[in-house]
Amino acid sequence: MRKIFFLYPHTIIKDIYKEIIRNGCDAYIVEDHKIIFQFLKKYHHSILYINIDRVLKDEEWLDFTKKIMEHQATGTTSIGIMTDARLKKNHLSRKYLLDIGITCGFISLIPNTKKILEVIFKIIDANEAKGRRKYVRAQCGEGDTFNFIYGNRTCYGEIVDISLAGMSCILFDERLTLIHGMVLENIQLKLQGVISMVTGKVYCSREITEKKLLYVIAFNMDTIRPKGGENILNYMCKRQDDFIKYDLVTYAEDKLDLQEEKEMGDILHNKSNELFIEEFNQEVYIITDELKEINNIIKERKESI
Amino acid sequence: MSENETILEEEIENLSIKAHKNDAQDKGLIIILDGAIDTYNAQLLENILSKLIKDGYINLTFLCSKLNYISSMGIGIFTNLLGTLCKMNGAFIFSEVQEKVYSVFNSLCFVKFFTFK
Repeated sequence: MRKIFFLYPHTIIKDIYKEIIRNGCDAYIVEDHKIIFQFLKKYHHSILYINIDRVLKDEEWLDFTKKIMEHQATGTTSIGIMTDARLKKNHLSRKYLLDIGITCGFISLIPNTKKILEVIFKIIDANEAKGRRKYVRAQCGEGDTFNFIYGNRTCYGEIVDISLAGMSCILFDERLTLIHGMVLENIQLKLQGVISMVTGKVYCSREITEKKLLYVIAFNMDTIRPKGGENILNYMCKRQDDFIKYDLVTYAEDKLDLQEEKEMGDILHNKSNELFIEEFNQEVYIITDELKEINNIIKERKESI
Repeated sequence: MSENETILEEEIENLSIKAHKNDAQDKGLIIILDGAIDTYNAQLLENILSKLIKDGYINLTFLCSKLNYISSMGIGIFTNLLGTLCKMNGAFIFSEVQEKVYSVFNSLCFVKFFTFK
């Protein structure tokens, strides 16, 4: 899944941001163009939409865009431009689309949320932003927990990540094992203090340490109350925001190191490669689990036939 | 030589490309695109088109009635192609583009730079 960064987004984009996340996009709002290089260096093949109506002058935005495209460390970024249609900046489209060669379009925004949303979804599809995944997952933090009743006891655990379709989690009690296919009624999620109720099914599990198992629980979409779904979505939007803030803090801490690297002509920090490998390994784990699950389903079906 | 001599027939991931000579046009080719142009095959398509241009075909008509998807990366190939052909006094047009594919060009504001028939 490609990350989509909206740099200085227009209010209308902020208004539909939640819908973009609901649609399964890994989207972020960034309110500082000076730090965007940091993200683009770290997350290759990202998509960047720039609002050219704010902060910099037209010529400066052109230069800024060119620099991102030409820089070795950020050259894999796909760039698109957004501008308020009423500002009549269409004369810049040739410069961006043909001279600089951005591929994600020159979008003139009109004040119509429904139409903008349609355009955004078309753009997301054209940018192949969602990849294989249908839902974006938010990494959870400390204190994001869940509990459910199992037999006559309440079981507690920690949520590792969550999407609108399910979550991965760890049980606090290592002696307890959940069986694949097991339905957990009335799971109480506690996400940054907000409580939501869901029903879920144990989809798969994998060992993360000798004793601990990471479970993937698929939510029963029919049983999530609208309020619960909205709570999860709000939480996810908040986490996307936290993600940017966290990276900013890290960026500030690493700034001196990065400056040194720049001087040495080595802007690409190894950390990005490590992160990439880590993400890749996680994907491989997930795919392996999913393949196992598919194999089991096929076996079951064959047996029933 | 027949009027529609086949110059090229290629199957790349998700996309089939057939190129016939277009005798109605000097250095002309009709290129039939069938399938989808996405991140995975865009570069391959660009290589194929570069080779055709190198062989002297600079007036291209893309028949797109069976082209059912184009990504932004795919559109990028055609903006590059536009620059290349302009320098060579060549041109290209899109013909019979499906509505959903056209709407991608339109949403991204590329329609005004290309010719659609």
